[in-house]
Amino acid sequence: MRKKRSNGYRAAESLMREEFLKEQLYKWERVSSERLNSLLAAMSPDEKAALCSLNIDGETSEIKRLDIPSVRISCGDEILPEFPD
Amino acid sequence: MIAEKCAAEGNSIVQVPFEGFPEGPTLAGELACAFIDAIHAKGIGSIIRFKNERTDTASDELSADNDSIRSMMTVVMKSQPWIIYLSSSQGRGNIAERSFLAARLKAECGLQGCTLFNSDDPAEIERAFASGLDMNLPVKNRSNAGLIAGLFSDGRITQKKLDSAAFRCLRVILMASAKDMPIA
Repeated sequence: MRKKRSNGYRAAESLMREEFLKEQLYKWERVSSERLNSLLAAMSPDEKAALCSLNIDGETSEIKRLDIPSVRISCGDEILPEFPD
Repeated sequence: MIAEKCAAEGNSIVQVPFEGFPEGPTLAGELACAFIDAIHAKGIGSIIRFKNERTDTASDELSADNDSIRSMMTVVMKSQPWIIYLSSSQGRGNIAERSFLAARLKAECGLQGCTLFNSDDPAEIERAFASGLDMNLPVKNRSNAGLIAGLFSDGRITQKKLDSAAFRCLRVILMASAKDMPIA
């Protein structure tokens, strides 16, 4: 049976999460919401569906008319470092 | 070294070997964070795969705060990996569990990136997008983009869900294509 956590533990955990998030969120602001929304507003449903689907090689679809490039994502096990015992 | 290898092979986003780290949620989480931060500092994105070998959808295993999930949550909060790959070893099943974990990572950990799932099954893809997963990886098909567009045109994926998923996917794609802007 799992132990029930105290209110103090929960409060500390919540505060820690807030601090972590503050530190990390700025990294995502380099692509502005305005730019994202502007691009999405210009897209057809087919283009949005293409964005949401990788191909079998792990590549996203290029949308040339909006200057959105294709990027490749490593989805397999090919890059794995070895860890000592 | 891995970031350089990734870039040399044309990958913009590299998989972090989350399952290769030692046992113990705290240590595994800290090692994964250090790994991710180092990759991000090179302008390369990160993807973490969370494998679920179970095939039934009734399990509440992912709703529990087990070590692996707590470790994953710590990594998301501290280092914000770009993509969380919620994979099923057989390429199908567990959509309810995968969706549940995706929702937790977004709501409780502030995940900014997108969630990826593998499946070719139209019913599963419909359920996945309806429950907040963002990006599909085909298992055998070349691409499921046409299938997703068809589900939207049939009203089985709503405009709101498609827009939400596309927003997260587009943000990751644009970040991956802006390598001249290190983010760590």
